[in-house]
Amino acid sequence: MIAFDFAYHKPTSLQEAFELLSEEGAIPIMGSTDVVVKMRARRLRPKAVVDLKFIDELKFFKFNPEEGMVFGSAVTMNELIEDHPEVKEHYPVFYQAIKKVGAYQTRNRATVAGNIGNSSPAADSVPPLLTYNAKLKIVSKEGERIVELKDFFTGPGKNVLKQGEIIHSIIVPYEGKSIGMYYKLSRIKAVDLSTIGVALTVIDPEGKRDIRIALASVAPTPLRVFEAEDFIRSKELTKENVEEFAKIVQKNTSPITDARGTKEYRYEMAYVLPIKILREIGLYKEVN
Amino acid sequence: MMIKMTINGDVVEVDVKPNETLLDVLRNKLYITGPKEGCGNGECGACTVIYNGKPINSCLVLAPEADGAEILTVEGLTKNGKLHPIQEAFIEENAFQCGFCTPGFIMSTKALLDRKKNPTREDIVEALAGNLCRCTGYQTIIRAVEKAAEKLGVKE
Amino acid sequence: MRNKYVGKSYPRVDAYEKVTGTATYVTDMFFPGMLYAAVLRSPYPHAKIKKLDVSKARELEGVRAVVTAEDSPYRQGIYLVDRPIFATDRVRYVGEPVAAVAADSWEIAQKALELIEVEYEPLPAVFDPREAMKGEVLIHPDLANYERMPIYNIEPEKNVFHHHKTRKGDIEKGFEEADYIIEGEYYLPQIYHAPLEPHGAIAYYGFDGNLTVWSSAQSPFTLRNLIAHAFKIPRHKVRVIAPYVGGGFGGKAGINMEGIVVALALKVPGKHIKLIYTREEDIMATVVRQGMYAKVKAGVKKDGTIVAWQEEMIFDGGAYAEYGTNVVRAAGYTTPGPYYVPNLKVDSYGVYTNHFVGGAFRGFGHGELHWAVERHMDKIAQELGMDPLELRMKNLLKPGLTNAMGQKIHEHTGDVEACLKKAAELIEYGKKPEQPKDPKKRRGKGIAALVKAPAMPTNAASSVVIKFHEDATVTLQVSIQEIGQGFNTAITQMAADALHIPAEKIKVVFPIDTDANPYEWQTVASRALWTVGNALYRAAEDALNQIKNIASQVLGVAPYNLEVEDDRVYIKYDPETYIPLTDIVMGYTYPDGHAIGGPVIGRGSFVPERLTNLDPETGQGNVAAEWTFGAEAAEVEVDMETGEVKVLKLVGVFDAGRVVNPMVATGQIIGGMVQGMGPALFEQIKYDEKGNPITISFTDYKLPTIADIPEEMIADFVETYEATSAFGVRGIAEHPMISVPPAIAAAIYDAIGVNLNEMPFTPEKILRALKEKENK
Ligand SMILES: Cc1cc2nc3c(=O)[nH]c(=O)nc-3n(C[C@H](O)[C@H](O)[C@H](O)COP(=O)(O)OP(=O)(O)OC[C@H]3O[C@@H](n4cnc5c(N)ncnc54)[C@H](O)[C@@H]3O)c2cc1C
Ligand code: FES
Ligand code: FES
Repeated sequence: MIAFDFAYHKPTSLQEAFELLSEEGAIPIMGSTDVVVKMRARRLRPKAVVDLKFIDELKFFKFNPEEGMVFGSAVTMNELIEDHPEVKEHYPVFYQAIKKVGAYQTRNRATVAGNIGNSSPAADSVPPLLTYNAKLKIVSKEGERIVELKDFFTGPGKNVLKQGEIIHSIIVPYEGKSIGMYYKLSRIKAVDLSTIGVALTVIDPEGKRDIRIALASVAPTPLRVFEAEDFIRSKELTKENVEEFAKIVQKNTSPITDARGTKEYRYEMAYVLPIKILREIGLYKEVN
Repeated sequence: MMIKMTINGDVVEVDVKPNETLLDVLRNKLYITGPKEGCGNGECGACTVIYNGKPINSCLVLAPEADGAEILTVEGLTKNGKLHPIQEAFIEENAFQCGFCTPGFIMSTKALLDRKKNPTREDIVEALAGNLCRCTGYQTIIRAVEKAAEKLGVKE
Repeated sequence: MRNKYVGKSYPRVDAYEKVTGTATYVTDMFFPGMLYAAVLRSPYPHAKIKKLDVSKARELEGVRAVVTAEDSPYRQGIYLVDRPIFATDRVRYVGEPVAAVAADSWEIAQKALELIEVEYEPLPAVFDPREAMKGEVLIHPDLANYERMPIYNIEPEKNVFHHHKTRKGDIEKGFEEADYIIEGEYYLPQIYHAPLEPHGAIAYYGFDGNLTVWSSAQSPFTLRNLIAHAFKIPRHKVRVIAPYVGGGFGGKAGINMEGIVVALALKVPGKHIKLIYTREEDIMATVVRQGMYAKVKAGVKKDGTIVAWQEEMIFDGGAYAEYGTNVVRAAGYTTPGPYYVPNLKVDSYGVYTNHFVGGAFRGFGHGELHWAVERHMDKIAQELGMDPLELRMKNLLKPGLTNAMGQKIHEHTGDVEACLKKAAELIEYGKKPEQPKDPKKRRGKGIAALVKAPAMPTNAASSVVIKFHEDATVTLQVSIQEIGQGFNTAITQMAADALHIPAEKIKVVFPIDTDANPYEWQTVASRALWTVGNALYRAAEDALNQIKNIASQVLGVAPYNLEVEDDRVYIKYDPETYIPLTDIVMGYTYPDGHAIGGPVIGRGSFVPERLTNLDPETGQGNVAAEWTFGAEAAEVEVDMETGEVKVLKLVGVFDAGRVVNPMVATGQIIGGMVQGMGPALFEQIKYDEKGNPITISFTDYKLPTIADIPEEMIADFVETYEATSAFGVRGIAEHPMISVPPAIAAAIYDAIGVNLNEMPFTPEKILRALKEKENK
């Protein structure tokens, strides 16, 4: 039970949702797995919640190599990975990360849009999406705009959405075969937020071998480290290069201490994990 | 506001408020007390019910959302006074102690066996990781799920 | 006594209710017109209450009562009455109740809380018990005047609520004899019980002055006693009813949050008042396991014989001690656990801090003491270059030797050597673990032993009533609470064997109702089957004697020539001649209509035999009734890059005396080992640098999930029948949790050669330890 009163709305069309969301104090919800927790703790006190999951237009999935993967914001995490084999096949790092979000029950409710909308630095679905150059289609009464995911977050719990704007869908370009790993370090092995999460994606591993890396829980927002990617591009994965790559990743982080871990440990892991992942996916053989 | 749900096969109408969760309504208004509140935060799974065919934490669903939903709770598993094979398996394998987590585990198990007839240990772990048990250490629960799968397989 | 049910895996009698969701817990109870309670809590770890104004809350529509310390100026506590129901002049921890409201709905009660005005003046706070002992900040300036059991030794100017001393042999001489002096320091933080059912209670105060409390309580009678004592109500006017308890682990022993609903109920007679704690409240404002700092100094001979053991344990008792006093004492008198050391000096201090309240927790001081003892045994082994198992074997507490309090160990006390051997076999001790291909991952094995006796007053009593019914079925009244441990099942089996009737004909009366049930001290201390078994034995004898006496008159043979079996009482030397029990148990009626006897009701009581308090200066005496030994072992894999630890295998072996129900006993062991693994690896109540708690929900206080358990867990038993038990049984319920952390720590050492002396072994600590080792 939540200790304060608020209104609940269940629009079935975007137009209706736009109207409802234009009210001051109204917020959108999807699976409500973040929102109910925050309201219970009185960390969030909306005047109204606008439940978007009954808007059919937001419940779609498509994939083709030209447009990549596009899915509506109302698609739950389990629907995404259980009903659409394309996710596992073409976006393996994203798939791994989704599987590590919360519990099975959570994923039957939680959405990727909610994970993004919540804008926690610990959001597990975000680092892989960053490595896949994901974009968001944002709609409102005023129209629509496309925002690169990397430009979306502005701080812990903060993003570029304006009152009345809705994440319509998530667009993930297809750039060819990819391999990689989402390494999630947490206190327990399931149903825990990441102490640190590292997504390392390699696009076209046998060809141009484009290594991309993004992290959760090491900075005020999920963090993609372009500098490290630029460094390692078309370089051989020697001990020296890999270590330098990891050092650059580490240098770009600015972790804090919280209930899950200390900044020192996070900082250290920001160096260790990129190397570990490269080794575990078989690209780097050296063991020091 | 009035909402209408189908709970364990019965159509139920009930007056709810937005600040109530589905779990609050089941327990405090409909006295369906099989689902338990262990945390109210989606962390423990004691409130797990099958909601439109899927296991979810009923403590994270705002009650008005459930209008039109189909819900199965542990109360809906027994038929004509007889236990469901999953319940039998939980007894035979001693998969509970204090029993507070048990309705949640049984519902997660039901949902798992609905989607996978022969779950591996890994499948079981994935399906039940959202259910906390402080008493059993889980070993017998894993065995109970395996046994329930056998029982259900044999029956078909 | 028959031997038909005891020793078998009889199905649990609470099974049907539990798997169908129909088992009733307090939270599942509703009464017409019931009111809901809510509690206003301190946001400060230590502060003066300068102003408390509840008038606006009282005026809110739907509010029926608001109480503060002004209305309910009572303190509670089992051994030391130090915990106010509502904070009086000051608050001593974050979460301490300041006021409570009863209202027509939960929401109104919540709104009322927001209308209560409180002004605090923060006081200097102290969070480290070692600091607290300096006495610069006094948390209980009035401690000397608190009511307490005289066996507790307070040092008010040092914030010490109990100082236990063991002095045995001659410690100085012991150190002189030693070839090596080995010292070590060990620490563990506070942890939380986390029963899946949070605490809850409903209270009803009738216009007739009778008070009824439904509570999720491990100890209905002690709860009754403490409520009656605190609120000054005669015992017979207080009734406690305890339905199923969704996990206790010690946290629901004694009295807890019940006083709050009682205080409200007294204000609104004729109304039921319900208070179910949220998870957050349960973590903050019930009790937790105390933290502990230990310093050990051992004197050891070259061959590994330990000749002297000096230890100081400083417990972080939190803001109030009450039950925790005895935790400190039990740890004090049991150190050094399952080992024999002739010269001992142990000081165990319970110290107030501004942390959450410490109290009883599964293991009751033994998880803490064995953490230090078993870690130190490993350290000694390392310094001597000896195998840790061999060192343990050499120093075991064996028959003929005396323990820390001077009690003699007998053959029937239990066999720790057999437990260790079996555990070693099951973990394949001595066989190097197969190492993973990844050179960054290393595996190792570790082993640890343990011992624990029930920590209870010398006169902790039990009683049993057996009632026969017309059809010769039986109801058994006994007031040990079914908290998941399977008591009702085991006692059914034991009663069936004691009464010589089928178990199916016996029902344990449930829920427990102190108005109807016979007295029982508490459901704690792993003593239930032992103590109630003895009371049951007498009650069964009593009932059987009544049956035989009636039959003796009818059949014209002496009672001792009669035997009861299943549905009849027959003549031993002529078994064909019998009377059906149905003709006897309500009294026998002759064909002409005249009747003799009457309903058969057996009663039996038990108090522990020959226990005495300890000498306050030396800790010598006879305070423990029976001891359970055990050994645990672990195999782990450590990732040396991330510091992550994976427990691959856990083994627990206990000398249970006679195992009453192997299925249920195995369940206890497996569950306990996993509960021991949590605090070893990650469980911990954390506070920020200002003393504010930061792990107050399951989001931040993590428990082991099904994904965290080892793939392999084995429970096994040694069965040295307990001579002080009519059934040969002794307790095993708390024990499995105790030595898992030291076994895991030993396995980590075996894997990567570093010693973890602070729980939990977070990846971070492992890496730090690895670095320190490299730098050496
Ligand atoms: C037990 C538990 C475990 C969890 N574990 C993890 C974990 O391991 N990793 C992790 O990353 N997260 C975890 N979470 C957090 C949460 O589940 C995720 O963030 C989830 O993806 C949120 O999705 P939702 O649909 O439930 O969002 P909601 O709670 O409905 O919304 C979250 C936020 O997004 C906004 N929002 C939702 N939809 C839209 C939209 N279409 N347009 C604009 N804004 C929108 C809302 O206004 C709100 O601010 C966990 C939560 C719980 C309860
Ligand atoms: S009560 Fe819903 S998950 Fe704990
Ligand atoms: S049986 Fe008690 S929590 Fe699972």
